[in-house]
Amino acid sequence: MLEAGKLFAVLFLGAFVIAYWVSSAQYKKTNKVPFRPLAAVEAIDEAIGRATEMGKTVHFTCGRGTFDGQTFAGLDVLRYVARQTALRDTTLIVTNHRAQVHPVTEEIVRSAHLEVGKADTYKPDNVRFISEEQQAYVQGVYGIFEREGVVANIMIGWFFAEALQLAEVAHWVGAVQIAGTTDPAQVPFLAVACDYSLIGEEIYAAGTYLNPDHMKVGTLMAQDVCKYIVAIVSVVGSVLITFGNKSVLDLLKR
Amino acid sequence: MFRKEIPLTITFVSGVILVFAWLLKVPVLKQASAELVRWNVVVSAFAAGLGGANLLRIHYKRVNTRKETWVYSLILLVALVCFVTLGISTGLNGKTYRYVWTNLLTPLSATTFSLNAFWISSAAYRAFRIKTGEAAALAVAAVLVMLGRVGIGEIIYAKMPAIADWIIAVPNTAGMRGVTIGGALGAVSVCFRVVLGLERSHFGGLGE
Amino acid sequence: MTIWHKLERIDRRILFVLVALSVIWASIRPMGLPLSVSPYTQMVFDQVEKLPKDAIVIMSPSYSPGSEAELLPQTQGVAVHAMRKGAKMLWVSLTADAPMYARKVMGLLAAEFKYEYGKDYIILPYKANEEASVSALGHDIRAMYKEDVDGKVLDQLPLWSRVKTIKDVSLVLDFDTGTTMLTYIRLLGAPHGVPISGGGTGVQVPTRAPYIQGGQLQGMLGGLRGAAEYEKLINVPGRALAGMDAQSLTHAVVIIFIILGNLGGWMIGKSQKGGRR
Repeated sequence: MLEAGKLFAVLFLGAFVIAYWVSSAQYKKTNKVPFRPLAAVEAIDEAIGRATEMGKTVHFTCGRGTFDGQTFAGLDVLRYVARQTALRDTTLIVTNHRAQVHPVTEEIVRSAHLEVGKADTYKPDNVRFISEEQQAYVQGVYGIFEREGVVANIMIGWFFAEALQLAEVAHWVGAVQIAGTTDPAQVPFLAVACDYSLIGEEIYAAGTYLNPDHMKVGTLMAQDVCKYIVAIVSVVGSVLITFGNKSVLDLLKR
Repeated sequence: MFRKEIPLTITFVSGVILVFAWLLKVPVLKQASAELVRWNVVVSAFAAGLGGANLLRIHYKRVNTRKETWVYSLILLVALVCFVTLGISTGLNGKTYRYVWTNLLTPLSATTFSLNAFWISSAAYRAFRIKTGEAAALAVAAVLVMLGRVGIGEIIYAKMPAIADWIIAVPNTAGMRGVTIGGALGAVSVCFRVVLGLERSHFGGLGE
Repeated sequence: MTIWHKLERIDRRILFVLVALSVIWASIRPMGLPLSVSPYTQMVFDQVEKLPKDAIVIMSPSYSPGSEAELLPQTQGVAVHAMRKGAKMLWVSLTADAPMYARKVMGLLAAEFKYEYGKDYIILPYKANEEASVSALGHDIRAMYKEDVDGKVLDQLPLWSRVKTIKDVSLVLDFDTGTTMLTYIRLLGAPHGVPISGGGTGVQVPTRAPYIQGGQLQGMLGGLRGAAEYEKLINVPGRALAGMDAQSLTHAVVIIFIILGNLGGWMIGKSQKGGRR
């Protein structure tokens, strides 16, 4: 019935589901987010505050993904940023690299304005689809940085080489930057070029911090549990195979 | 009515079929999964058209209302219409289309991409300041890899490329594995939430 | 402002000018710096070298004009090598620009190696959504493609009659700047056992290293250097080898600036501590 090599995947998923149920039930009881604070997440409010005081603009982008995990992480943070900028009457410009994501970001920003009772301050022109072509997108955002007084740049999602390009130009115009991605090739560039960075899965934690609920806390805890499982299996398997025992390897292949 | 129920149901059914088709040896599930994957190709192609339509709408409005920088919007509209017309009339193999692609798009893309050389130089100069132990490790590793990847490094020390290869193959790979595993687990958790309808941020306000 | 303050805060435009000048200088006055071949490049070479005559390979140029400078020389180098081995090529297009690059490379090389379209190579049309396309390649390649990039019926092309399933493909050579290589590993390499190799940008090498060490990827050409190493291995000096001197000088300029910046910072810190004492 089960495909070859998928037994471990089933067990792993089972562990994930159990960990999720237990953690989300725990959160419903205690209402406490049991994670260490992330400097980059705390800096989001400061960045928005900076833009508000200076009367300038916050820029946000979810990157080049189309509804992969990183894009959802970015959309989660956008919900919070849109709400905060709407509350404080700060200009938020959202640029989109993918056409499919554009209507979703429009809806998120519009809903945020509605939620805080400021429907009249919502400007559809501030949520912009630039281009699917990488360099055209980068040039479009350069223009926004230069012309629209961007002092805070938030980039959470999936990026390729445009990450460094956007980060450097944002630095050039004096914007404070918070960025995060799980793409291992871009993490070093963002870590080096931005003021605050979220490395790897911290982007998923960011959304949970900003908009906590039992479902997100539960899945985040389940991720941590699964990481422990991966670490234990890796260490035990490596030690065993060093001594010629292939039992863990056979389990993974079953 | 049903503005969120229908997409949630489609997501749930598609997600379950794809996951179980991957896990189980059930021919009907595999066929359904292959069919869904094929439909995805068609839907993705339509999404490209959606982007074009969006661009037309936004920039036409800018030109119409003479917003500042409307001239650039006009240039974009003219270029968009011309290029699309060219592509449709002559096909992607057409001589004129390929001429425009080779002599306009390619040099423009390559030029703006090559700005990366300047950006990484200024980012490196700005960021590689040795103020802590970790910063020192970062700077030293970066310099060794940079030297190891070019001929000057080989002249300075013949084994420089081997050192760079070791840094990439051993400590760097260990870090990459950790980030990749963490990212993959995060993607699993997001997919879990999306398929089960627990994640609704993509609905915006409708998700509440 | 002391010299140390100036060094610590050099105007970045000076850096930009020096980077530009180093590229221009190296282009005018090539230095012929040494170049050793990395193990990952050697692995790619060995994969192509052991191809039997008439083996079918998938060539997949999955990049856009912005990355052409790094990846087109890689594609050309590997294509030359594959054609020397008599390999037959299926050019698969996972990006909109891929058919253009396929035509570009074959336009340059087909006459030299007397390669005939339809008999020795076929260019397949672009299909959106790489995940779906690669998955379909693995499940049923003949159902996936009915016509070539020009609309010719594939069944009329002699090479296509040899392609029944993905198992008829001996090697997949993907040149990507994104995720297509990982998609090939996941959807063709793992389930169907097709060897995957190819090239990418320099920054991708560290991210692909785990797959190479795990045996899922058979080596990888890394950026312009990878292309230059391959040109050296096949003894066909080209754009990549010519570009390595520029890369060397540029790296040297950046390293010097990093040292100067740190020197400035260190001396300022030292004088501040001395002042406090």
